[in-house]
Amino acid sequence: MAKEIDRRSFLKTAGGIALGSMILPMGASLLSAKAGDEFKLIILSTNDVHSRIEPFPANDRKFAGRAGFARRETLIKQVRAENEHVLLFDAGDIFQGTPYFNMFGGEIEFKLMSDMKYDAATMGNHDFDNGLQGFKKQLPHAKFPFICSNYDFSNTLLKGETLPYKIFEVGPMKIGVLAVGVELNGLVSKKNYQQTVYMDPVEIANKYAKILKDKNCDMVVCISHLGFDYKTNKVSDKILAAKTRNIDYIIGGHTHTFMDAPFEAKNLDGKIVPITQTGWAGINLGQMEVVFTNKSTNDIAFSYTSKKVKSQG
Amino acid sequence: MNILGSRSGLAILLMAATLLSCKQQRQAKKIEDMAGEFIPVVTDSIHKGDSLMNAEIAPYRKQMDIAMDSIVVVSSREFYRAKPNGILNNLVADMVLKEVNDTKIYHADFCLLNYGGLRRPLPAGPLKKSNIFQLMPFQNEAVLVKLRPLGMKHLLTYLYKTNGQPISGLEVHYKDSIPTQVYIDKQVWDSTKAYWVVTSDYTANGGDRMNFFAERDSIIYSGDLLRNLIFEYLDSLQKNNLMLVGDTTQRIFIDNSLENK
Repeated sequence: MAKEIDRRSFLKTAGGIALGSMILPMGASLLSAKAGDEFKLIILSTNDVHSRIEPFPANDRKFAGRAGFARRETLIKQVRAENEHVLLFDAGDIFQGTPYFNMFGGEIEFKLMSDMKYDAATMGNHDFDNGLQGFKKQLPHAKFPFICSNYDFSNTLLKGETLPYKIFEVGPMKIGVLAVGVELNGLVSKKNYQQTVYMDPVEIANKYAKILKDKNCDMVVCISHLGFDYKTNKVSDKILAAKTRNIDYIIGGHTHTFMDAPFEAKNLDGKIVPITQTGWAGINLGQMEVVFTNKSTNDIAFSYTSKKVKSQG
Repeated sequence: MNILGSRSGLAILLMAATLLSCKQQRQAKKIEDMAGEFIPVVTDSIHKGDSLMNAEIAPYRKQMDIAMDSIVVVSSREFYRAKPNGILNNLVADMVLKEVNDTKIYHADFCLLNYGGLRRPLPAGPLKKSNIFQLMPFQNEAVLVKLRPLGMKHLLTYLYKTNGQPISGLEVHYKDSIPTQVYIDKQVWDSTKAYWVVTSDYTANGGDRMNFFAERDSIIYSGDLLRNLIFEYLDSLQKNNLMLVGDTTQRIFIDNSLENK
C-alpha cells in the first residue's frame, strides 16, 4: 500500500516537471513503459460540441481558430495510428449552437462523428431541441449507439432507440459503459421531451455499474451530462462520484467546464474516480490513458498532466 | 447406440457448461494507472484539419454560406453578456421589447429573458446572419404573460437569486435580497397590479426554473421567434443606415452591505 502511494506521488511529480518544461509529442505515452503483462487503453472524449463543425472564426475574442471537426479528426487519427486500443465517446449536447444545426438538424454532426468512429454518445438536454422526432430523424446518420441509462423512453417514439449500457470488447478487455443525463423538467420544454421519464442518476448509475462489474468488466466508465459541480445540492458529477461505487471513470459534460487536470473524486469506497470535462465546442479533446495489469493492486496510481486552457467558456 | 448418443450429448453439454462457467469466472484485470490530459484542438496553417472531413463539410458549408453570410447590420462594439448587468443582456431584451410593442397589436410593460439563452457574444463590425443565429439559436417564440402580483414578487426574488437576467423596461434596486425600489416602464411598481411581461415560450412554461410565470392571468403566443424579432430590429437599423449601438445603463442594483456585515 505504502509502495503504491509512493509510486503515485512520484508519477504526479514526474508528470508535473516533465510537462512544465516540455511538450510531449501527440499520443506519446504518459505512463512508464512496463512489462508485457500490461494492457493499454486510450479513452478519447468530447462533450457539448454544440454543432461547432468549423473552428471559431478569426473575430472570436476567446476562441479564434480553436475547435473544428476536421482538425479533431486529424488528432483522433494520430492517436489511433499510435495506439492499438482506442475508445471514443461524447457526453452529449452534440446539437445546437451554430447555423449548421438550424439548417441541417444534426445530420452533419452525426455523419462526421460516424466518420470519426465514435463508439458511443449520450444525450444532452440540447439534443432534445428539435423534439424527440427531430432526434430520431437524424439517428440513421449515427453509426454509433446512444447510451441513456436514466432516461426511460418506453412511452415515447424513442423506445428501443437507445441503450441502457453497453460492453465494449477491446482486445481481451471488457469495458462497461453507462450514461446518465440531466433532469429535463425546467431545462427542456415538455413538448420536446414528451413522456420521457427521468430517473435518479445516482440510483441508476449504482445499479448498472454493479451489473457491469458482475458481468466481469475490467473497467466501468460513466458518461454523464449532469454537470461537474453546482453551488446548490443539484446532482453533479462530484455528487455522482461520491455516492456511487464500481465506476472507474466519469466523462462529464453540460457545465462547459475547462479543467487543468482531471478532478480526483472519491467514491463510496474511498477509491479515486477521475472526472474529466473538455470545456465545450470541441476546443479540447479529452484523452485518458488507462493501463491494466494482472497483478493484484489495491489502489490506482494516477499521473495527470494537462495542457492548460487559459480562456474559460 | 441411442444411449451412447445421449451420453456423448450430455458430455458435450457438460463441457460447454464448464467452458461457460470458466469464462464467467475470468478474473477481471485491475487498473494500475490512469493519466488524463486535454489536447487542444487548434486549426491553423500548421495544424491542418483532415482533408477528407473538410471535403465532406464543404457542400454543407456552401449551402450555409449562401443562407447565412449576408450582413445584417454593422455593430459599433462587441456585445457580451454579464451578471448582474451586461451590454448584451440589455441589447437583446431591448430589441425584443421594442419589436413586440412596435407591432401595436400587443403592449408589454417590460421584457424578461433568460441569461442562459444568450448563447454567443456579438463581435464589433459587420454582423452576419450567422452571428445572430449563434446568439439566439433556439426556435423560441416571444410570448406575453399577464403576471399576477404574487408572480411579480416571485419574479423579483428570482432575479435576485440568479444574480440578474436580461431585462428591459424594468429597473430594480435590491437592499440585500429585498427589492427596495422597482420601476416598470419608468413608473414605480404597483405591487397590487398585474403586469404584461414579454418573454420566451421556454421561460413562460417554467424553463430555467422561472416557475413564477405559472402565476398568470393569461398568456399570448405572438407567433414570432425571438430571433426573427432581432432580425426585424437590425433590419430597421440597416435600412436607416444606422449602426448597432446598445444601451449600457445599469438596470439591476444590488447592495449586499447588510449581509456582508
